[in-house]
Amino acid sequence: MTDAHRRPAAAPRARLLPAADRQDAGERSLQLEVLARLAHPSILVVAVYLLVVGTHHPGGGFAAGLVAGLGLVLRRLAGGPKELTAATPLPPGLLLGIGLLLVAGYAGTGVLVAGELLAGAVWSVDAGFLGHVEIPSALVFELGVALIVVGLTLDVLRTLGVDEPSEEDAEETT
Amino acid sequence: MPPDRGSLTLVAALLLAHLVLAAAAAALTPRVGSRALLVGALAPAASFAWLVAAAPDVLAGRPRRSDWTWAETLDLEVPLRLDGLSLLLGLVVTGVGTLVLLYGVHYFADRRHGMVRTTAVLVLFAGAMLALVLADNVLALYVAWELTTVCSFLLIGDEGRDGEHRSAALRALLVTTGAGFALLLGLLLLGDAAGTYRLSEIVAAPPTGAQAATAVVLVLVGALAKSAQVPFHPWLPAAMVAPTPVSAYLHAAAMVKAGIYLVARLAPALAEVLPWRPIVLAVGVATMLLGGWRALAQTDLKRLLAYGTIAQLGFLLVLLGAGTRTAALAGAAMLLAHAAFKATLFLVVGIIDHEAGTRDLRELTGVGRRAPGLAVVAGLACLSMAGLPPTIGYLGKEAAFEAFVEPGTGHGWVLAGIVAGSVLTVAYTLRFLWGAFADRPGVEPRLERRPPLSFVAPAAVLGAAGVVLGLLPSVVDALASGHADAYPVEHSYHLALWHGFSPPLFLSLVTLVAGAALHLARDRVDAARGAVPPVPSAEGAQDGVARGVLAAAGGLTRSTQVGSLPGYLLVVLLAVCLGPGGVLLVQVGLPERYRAWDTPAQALIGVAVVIAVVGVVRIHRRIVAVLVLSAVGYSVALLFLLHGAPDLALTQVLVETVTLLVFVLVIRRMPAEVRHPPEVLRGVRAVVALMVGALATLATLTISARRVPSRSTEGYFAEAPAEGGPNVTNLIISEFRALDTLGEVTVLAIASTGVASLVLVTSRLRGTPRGGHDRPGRAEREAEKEDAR
Repeated sequence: MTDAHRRPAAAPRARLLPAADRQDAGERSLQLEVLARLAHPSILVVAVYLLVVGTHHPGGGFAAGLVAGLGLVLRRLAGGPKELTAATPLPPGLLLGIGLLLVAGYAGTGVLVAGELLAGAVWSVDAGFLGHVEIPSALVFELGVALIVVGLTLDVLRTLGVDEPSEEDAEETT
Repeated sequence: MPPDRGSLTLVAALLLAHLVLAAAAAALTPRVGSRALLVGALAPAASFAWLVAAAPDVLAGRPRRSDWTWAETLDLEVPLRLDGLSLLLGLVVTGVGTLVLLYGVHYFADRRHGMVRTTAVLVLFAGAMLALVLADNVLALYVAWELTTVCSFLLIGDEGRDGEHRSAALRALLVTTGAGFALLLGLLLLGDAAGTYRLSEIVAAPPTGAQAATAVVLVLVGALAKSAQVPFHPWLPAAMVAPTPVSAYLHAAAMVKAGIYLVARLAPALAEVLPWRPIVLAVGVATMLLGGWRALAQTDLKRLLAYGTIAQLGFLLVLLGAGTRTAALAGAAMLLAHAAFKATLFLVVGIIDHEAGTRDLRELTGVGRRAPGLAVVAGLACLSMAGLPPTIGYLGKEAAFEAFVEPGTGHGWVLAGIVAGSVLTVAYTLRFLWGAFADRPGVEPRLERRPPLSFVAPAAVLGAAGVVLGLLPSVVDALASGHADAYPVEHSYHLALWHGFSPPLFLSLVTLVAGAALHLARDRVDAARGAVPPVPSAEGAQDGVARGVLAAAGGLTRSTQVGSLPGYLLVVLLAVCLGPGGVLLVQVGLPERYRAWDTPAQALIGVAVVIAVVGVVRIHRRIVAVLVLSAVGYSVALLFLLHGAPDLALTQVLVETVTLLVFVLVIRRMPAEVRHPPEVLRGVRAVVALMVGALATLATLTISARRVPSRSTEGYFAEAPAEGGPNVTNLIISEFRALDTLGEVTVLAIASTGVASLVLVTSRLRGTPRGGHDRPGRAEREAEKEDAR
């Protein structure tokens, strides 16, 4: 989210979170912002790990989605509603839609390819130094589930934040 | 007869072609305008050609059949069947459809608004209607039936431009789908009584008894509403706000015939079931008389035709529902005749409206002199409508009189009714001609140019068809016999222009003379109409029903939706306790043996949970209570872990965390302390809470008391390696029970979108701008504006 050009040039540019400075100064917490800044990338990596590892270890799409969602909750807590918007590349409706599309598309592809709803397959790949890797086609399904869970979390967060009139809203209405 | 694979693919391709060409025409519309309808017209034109090619075979008594089973285990199939009656309707639907679409090219030429939708829906409708007359399964028929209703709604509503369009579309939708439910119920009862949902098999071995009688009444309700019979008729004149091609095609030639088609389809089998004949004959005659009488009062030419259509539909209902061979023969001929002449006249009115800017007969003058060709076309159609030789309308009407001159129960009354109806028909036919083409002194002529030939041509083809077919009675007789042969031959009547000096000829003369006299005495008729006191109208009754339903729904909502969240929760939880809880207690009972714990660690966690629960109830600060509550959740996750279920534990921890954080977000804006409700309410809540707790405990005990490993579990473990890995819990979600997951995530997505929409809508209604994704976009645009300054 590029809104740097909207600020007066004299204002300090160094920010931990893209939109965190758009909430009341009194509500801000430096520790939380630093934590969110540092942890969010790692949280996403954990989410991806959980997504991939599901067939062999505890994890799976649902857990991955929840973890990614938790990362967003953290950003929301640290940076306010605007920060939540800045942290999400796609609107929640689109995430839900893409998730549903993946899930339903996976189900439909099974019908077309194997003549059975939700039919899956496992590909074995020799990935050089990574060794022998097994990729189940259900990963697409899991990804869809994860996206839907993230979309749901986003929907909840954004609707909860809706009652808080921000500084800018107050400016606009006056 | 074995299904014919070759024609199966052809019919399927033709039906599919409507869908594809509808999309293609819609896509072309923004570029080429109404000429896109030419592309759309290919679909009905091709279907027409196919029907003509198939006609000799079908009329020789060899119906075409094709079966498409799409869910064998559920016994769901879409069988298509082309017999004499389907052929008749199919020719009307595709023939008139092609011409109306061609006509639309000119009619819609200067229209920009909503053309994409109109084009697509018109072509789609042609396909749905063709599917309706070909369907041999009652459920497939019902689906096609309601598809046509939806098309009609969209075409009448026309993007909901104004209140008149919206209310007309809504009236048509409510009346026809409302009755459509009755139809569905009737068809299900019929299929159940007959033991088959195949239309042809039901007709071949008709059910009898009370269930069949009920089914007959329900099916008739649906059919009569669709075909605008009394007392359902007001939706049809209201639907005249639609563009003329829509009126000509849907509301004269094709869709309103669906009800008549179903009656004709079932009459050979069900005419003997008791309430059939009284209902069909009484409603048909009443509709014919009411339609004709109202038509004489109209000054809007299109509404005049609409009431005329109602009258003719009543006539068709009588003929095709009467259940005798001669009546069916007459009905089939009249059906062809009506489709041709009424569509022609609608198209003519559309041309006048388009060129002169009005269709009110009081404002029209000199149209006959300025557009003589148009007057000739209309004249040909009117010959057929009034039943003059040598037209197909004459063939049909002669046969109709003959059918009820033949002896039969109540035939005398029906004959009197249809003769009176025909007198009115002649009168409103003359009124139409007089209204559209006569000179009126003192009125400014509005028609400035002769309408272009390409605009009149489709109407001319249809108008001429009525006369050409009238001159070829043997062709019409063959087509009509295709349907009439479903009845045993009692009187071997054939359609012909000359039957000698017979009673029908005499009755025809009477109707012509009396009709002409009625037209000439129109001023006195109008005066007499004014003297009649107003009677309660069907329109008012329908509106009353609609208002009543709305009021009742409002009252029910107000009395049940009290707006208190704790109140709703109380009701829901109480219902859970008394319903499923009661069943569990009565049918399953308490488990006999159970162990307190496996390891002491479980006992410790249990104690922690109990302490936390007591704490939640006693703590008054919200934020603390929520934190303590989450301690319960985390403890449960620990229990899962101890049981060797890391997947469950992981999910539990994550869900608990999300819940906790969301709680914190919400609670920040609530009062810090819990406000206590009155003592009585607290007591009630405590009781319900204890009941829910007891139920949860009971459920947990009974479910976990089962010690027999389920058979599916073994299967899961055996299959797991082939599906990608050893984590069976996760494989159950993503592989073995993936269909469940699919359903669950769909519900999740829908619920999420629904809740978000509701919250955002209410917050916008309160005037708070939404904090969603569109906000930065707007803010950015405004920032850019500022930069530009």
